[in-house]
Amino acid sequence: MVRTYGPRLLAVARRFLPNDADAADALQDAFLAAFRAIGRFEGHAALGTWLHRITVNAALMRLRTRRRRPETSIEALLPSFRADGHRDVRREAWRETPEELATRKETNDIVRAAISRLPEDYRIVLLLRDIEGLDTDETAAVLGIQAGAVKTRLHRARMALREVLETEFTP
Amino acid sequence: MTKPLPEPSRELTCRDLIEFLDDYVADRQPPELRVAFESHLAECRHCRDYLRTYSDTIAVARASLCDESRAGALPEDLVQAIVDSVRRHS
Repeated sequence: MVRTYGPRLLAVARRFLPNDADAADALQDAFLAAFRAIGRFEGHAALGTWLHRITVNAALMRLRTRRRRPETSIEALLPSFRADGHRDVRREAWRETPEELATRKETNDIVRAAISRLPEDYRIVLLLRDIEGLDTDETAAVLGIQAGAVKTRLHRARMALREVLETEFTP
Repeated sequence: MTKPLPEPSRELTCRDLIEFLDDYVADRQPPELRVAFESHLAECRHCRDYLRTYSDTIAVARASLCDESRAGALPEDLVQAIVDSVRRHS
């Protein structure tokens, strides 16, 4: 089980914990929690899905024990408008499609670096919803916040990430 | 934390559109607001480009971070640490 599911689950832990040692510790926590709870695994979900959820929880637990680093305010990363509510700066579409960008090796590093610039409360919601595939209610339950807060943070996180990526992907 | 909808009587601004873009992308807007959105999008190239790059942001983040081809085998010392940890605690 460790060899089969471990590589994919380590990648999950790394998305939340960029430090390799922290991600490895989270993976170890996750497998330990899984072996302890295996008697309660009812087989309604696929084993991989069940392990994925346990790993996400283990990574979030590790994240909570770390000291937060100083962060940029999300407001500084959001789009600006003129007083009449219209855009103040003309924005171009990106020079390549997401599919084209994803084939480039450097895109992975650019996207990871951009996501790491988001304040933690926003970054975690973006990862849970858009990358790990949890729905709004599941994300709210995992984080202990209201569904409305998940929706607001997700939208702001996407807008902020779009602004950061724009500097890389616009002609 | 529900956002108040824009007054139906006034014309939408770029700020209105961007504020409610998540609902538009997820197709969970009231029909009358969707019509107002599409009318604004038809007129505003800024917002058309913004909508496209908002969707592209989600797509490129997913494509980059979910690329499982980059997940190689687990380092052997990590496999051993996990197995030892489970044995110790079981």
